[in-house]
Amino acid sequence: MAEEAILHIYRGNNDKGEMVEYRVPVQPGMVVLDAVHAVQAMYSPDLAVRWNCKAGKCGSCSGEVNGKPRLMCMDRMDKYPAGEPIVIRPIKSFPVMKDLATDVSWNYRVNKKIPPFQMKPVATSLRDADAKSAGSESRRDSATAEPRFSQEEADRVQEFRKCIECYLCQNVCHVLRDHEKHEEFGGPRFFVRVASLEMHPLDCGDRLELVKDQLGLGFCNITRCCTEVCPEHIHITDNAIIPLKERVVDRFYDPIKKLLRIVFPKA
Amino acid sequence: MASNAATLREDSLGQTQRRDLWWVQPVAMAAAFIAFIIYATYRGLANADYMYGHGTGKLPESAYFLSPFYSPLLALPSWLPAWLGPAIFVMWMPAGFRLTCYYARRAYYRALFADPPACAVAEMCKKNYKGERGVWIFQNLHRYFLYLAMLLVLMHVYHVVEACRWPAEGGGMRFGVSVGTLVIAVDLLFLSLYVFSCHSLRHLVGGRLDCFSGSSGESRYKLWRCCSALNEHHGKYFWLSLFTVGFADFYIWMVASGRIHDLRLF
Repeated sequence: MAEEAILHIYRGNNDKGEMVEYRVPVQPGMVVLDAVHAVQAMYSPDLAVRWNCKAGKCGSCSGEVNGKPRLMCMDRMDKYPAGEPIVIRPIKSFPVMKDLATDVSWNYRVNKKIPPFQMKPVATSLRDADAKSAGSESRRDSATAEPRFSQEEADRVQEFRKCIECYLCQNVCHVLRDHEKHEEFGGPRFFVRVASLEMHPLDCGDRLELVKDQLGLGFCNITRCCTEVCPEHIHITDNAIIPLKERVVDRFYDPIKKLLRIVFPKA
Repeated sequence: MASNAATLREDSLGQTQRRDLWWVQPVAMAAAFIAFIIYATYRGLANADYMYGHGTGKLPESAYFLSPFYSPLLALPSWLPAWLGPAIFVMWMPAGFRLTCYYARRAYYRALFADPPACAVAEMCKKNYKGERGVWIFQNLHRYFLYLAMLLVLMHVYHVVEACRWPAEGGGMRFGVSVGTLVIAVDLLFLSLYVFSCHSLRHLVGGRLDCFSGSSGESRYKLWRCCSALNEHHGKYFWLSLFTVGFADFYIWMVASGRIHDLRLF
């Protein structure tokens, strides 16, 4: 006889809900999302859960398993002690629509505030471009006229492109989760997006004022929970948030740089 | 915006659905911070037994050793009250560097201010949260403390060199190493790793650039890569250097006060 898992799953909406106990057989290699699907199949076809790829790449099945934010499709059942209930809840920082499905549309509204990629003006020649490599003009291949940049430059921003928008970082960030600063704060996901644009070698957009004022970077006190829960292992704090904080310091808080800008405005 | 569902509430400090031992790390870190602050404050105000060796009046046959809490040793004017020792005028520099350090901020916001104590655990005070926009805005001065910390590393190099120069029997100096020399050399090693893995330094050497091509770009990319490799272990270096600096001071205190003998190895 197969081993049995005891699941306590949140059933309800944003205003009213309860934890309901279900018992499902455990199969080898089973993940929490499989157990939720077993509940749907055996007891409750109306149990709402968002899922898609079952491979940790679509970011749909975010939830809180025993209080920890996780992708349910990547959370193996055999790591939980047999016989102890596994508590499955929707992510806390966003309103519950039904059962385990939450309304994450706030994130799409924040995303719209961020100006998209803006290509630097074309350099007149490759030699000019090399001379101005750290300047405002982009480089193009002399034969194909395609924009080009080095692998080293690509590597840095490539990490940020791994984001699957599961919003676990947004969920665990205490500025949103505990302080509910949704109106003043963008959250780690969008600091990653801004970093991917700001550090792009061919982008000439300026989003530092936006990230400081509208996305509220100063609210982040870098407690690194976003990095700890990221299923793609993006170094959100070290590679996105802290470099953005340093760029904001360069522009707005460094007294000597401010003085130098007054004395040498053209430099 | 956050869910109002009654069963999802995390209202009071420490309330969580987590079942693991999430409180162990913040409690251990808080204990380490408090122990170090008490010890460093006591030693900074003690104003005694912080150096020995030739030229100090204590153990003249030994090389010159100075506690890292008192480095660089300042000559204070005589009109200052006796309890105001030289450490008070020095310790604000490493203290400022550690206080504004990006890793330390994570550690003490969690351990000492429970803001939050751990991920997905309710925190102490939910009202008037300003993050690093309010009183904590001074954290943005970290880069200036970095410059001072780099000068302090240079001073520590000088003290390690001095700790290798032992008075020779026939006069003059000769090379020598004691347990004390190794203690302050290890302190220098971890202090250097801590300072050179700093997030602000990583930004200054290359992180602020978008393009690494061109004449200076490639060298700055290499510097940035080195700094990034060290930066991955910045937290470890923070704790190791905190321990070694405290231990180096303790060792020099014990030898200078005559409680133990500094064993010369060669």
